[in-house]
Amino acid sequence: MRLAVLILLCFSTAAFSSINMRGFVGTEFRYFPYEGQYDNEDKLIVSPSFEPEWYYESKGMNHLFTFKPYVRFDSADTDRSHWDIRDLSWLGVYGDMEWRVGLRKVFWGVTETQHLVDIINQTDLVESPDGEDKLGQPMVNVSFAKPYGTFDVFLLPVFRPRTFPGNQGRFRSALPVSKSPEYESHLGNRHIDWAARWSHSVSVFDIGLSYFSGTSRDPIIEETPEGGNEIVPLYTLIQQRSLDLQATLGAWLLKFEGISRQHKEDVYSAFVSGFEYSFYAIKGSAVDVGFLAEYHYDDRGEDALSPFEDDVFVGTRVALNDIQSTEVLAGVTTDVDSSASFLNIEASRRIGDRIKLIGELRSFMDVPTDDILSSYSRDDYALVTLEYYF
Amino acid sequence: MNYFRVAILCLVLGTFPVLAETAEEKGLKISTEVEVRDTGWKDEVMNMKMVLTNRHGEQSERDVMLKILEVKGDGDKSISVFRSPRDIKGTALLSHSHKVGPDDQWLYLPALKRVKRISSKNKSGSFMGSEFAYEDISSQEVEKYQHKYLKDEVVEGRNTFLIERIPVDKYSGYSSQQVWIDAERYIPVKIDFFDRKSQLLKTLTFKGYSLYADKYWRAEEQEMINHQTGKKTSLVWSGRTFNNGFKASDFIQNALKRIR
Repeated sequence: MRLAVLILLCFSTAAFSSINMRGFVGTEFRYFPYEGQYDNEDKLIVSPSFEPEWYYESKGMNHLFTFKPYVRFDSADTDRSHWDIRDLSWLGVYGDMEWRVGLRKVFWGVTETQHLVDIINQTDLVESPDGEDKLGQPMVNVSFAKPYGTFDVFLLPVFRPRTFPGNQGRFRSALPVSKSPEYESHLGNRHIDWAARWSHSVSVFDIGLSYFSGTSRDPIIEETPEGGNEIVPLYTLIQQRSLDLQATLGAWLLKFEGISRQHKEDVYSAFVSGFEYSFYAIKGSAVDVGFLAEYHYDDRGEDALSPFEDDVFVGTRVALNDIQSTEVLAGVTTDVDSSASFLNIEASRRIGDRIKLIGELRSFMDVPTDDILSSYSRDDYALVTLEYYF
Repeated sequence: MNYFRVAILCLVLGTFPVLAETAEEKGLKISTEVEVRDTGWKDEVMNMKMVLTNRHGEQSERDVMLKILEVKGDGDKSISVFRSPRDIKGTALLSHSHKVGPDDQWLYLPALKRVKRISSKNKSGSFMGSEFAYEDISSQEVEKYQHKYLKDEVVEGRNTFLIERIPVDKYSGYSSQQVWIDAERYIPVKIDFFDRKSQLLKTLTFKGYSLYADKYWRAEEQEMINHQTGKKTSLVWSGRTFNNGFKASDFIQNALKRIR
């Protein structure tokens, strides 16, 4: 946290008058039609959240300081009432070199339904079961933008364990998850992880090659000993090589993400690949309709810790392109082997100039009891969120 | 050789080609002159207020900051940053336009910190719910159309050339456009857009031209009226400055990711 203090000091010396602020305050209402399988029987869960952001840009736009805390309160789950610093960082531009130091979020990848190669940040799983929310990651990142691609090197000095729902929360496992995870490294969460990435855009292709060495962001859940009353996540040391590729061919977007991950002598690989095809301005209107399909494969098969071991997603994206920016994304992911499936509908629309209305519907169908998702099988829900932006 | 033969030869070699300048050649010449006169400004930054008006007269506003880099021999590079509505503040579009072939476009989503390469086939799609399509606001290159001179016409007291231009790109939302070019200043005054069924779809009017750096004319307001829906969008420009010293490296994905 010495770094955090340093960055805060930089902030305080910056001219206060030119610090910009923005963010949102929101309230989420989730309705679960079924009582949970465990002690989590609340059906209506109300949860306000707040994410302000302060940022300062130097005159020549060469230095950028950002501070973005985040807090959520949850009416049912004390563990979902949580806070985080999403961003507390300095960014400096020196010609084609860029330094980024502090807590930050980095996104890698191209696909829509799973983010396989995206490894820098830990998942804030208690925030949403879809895994799209991430915790701020302490890092030193230097980036070189060259004519033959962008090179990034990351030094990740502190590891952050994944957040999990608590006893009263939805999307919990049968046994609660321990707050004291175990690490393969004797340095625990202070093992210095590092990563490197080359990315480039050449004609219709966007390509990324990445390497990561350090603490796996995905914990291994070990067999709980007889009489044990909690699950202890274990974070192993891994090396991961990955490729992400998109070809943009007219209305077709062709996408691929693949990883090869090594832990000691064990190596496994996984990929997700698919397409998005869009019909623009349907019948002279402003409406765009896209069709998406993605296939997920993990060569560990049923032993995979991910629900995406042999699954197909098909879905559609509709953008009305109206003044309210109305959008809907709907799709079904089906396990090819077990026919277990997951329905996901996300929609959003602006109200006036500053309020955003978000709706979500998620449902698990025909999940067998031995499936990795079986503990969520009674956690279907409908969500409505209102966010006010300032 | 008698004088008659010489006269014939002169006619064939000299006068004849002039007489034979086709409507297409004249159209291309005028459009090229428009582009040539608007060359050398290097880069440009400006704020754009977009006022959307629906059939019932209800209005909604958007603010966009626009940076453009002039590229010699190819289409311009630009970054558009959305400032309002607040929920999309910081969302930005990087565009590398090309004289020939599709443009390259990347969209930056600040909440996800994600840069997405998007299809530029979406030419006819609405830009931010407005009456402007992506192709209306992207870099206007001569090579993107086939040009044809139609006639001279007086528009609001000014002599203009009326040019018909047909988009080369089959993904364009238009069958043709009719552009009135000011005959003295070589700047567009008005454009009629015809949809794929050759029906009049929209009219764009350029208002309040000002001269920058003694050379470059820029309209302070552009008004697009959709005749088929009755909706209207006005673009009001402000804070325009030229020659800011931008470099190609200000129009790459790293630059897109540091936008706030």
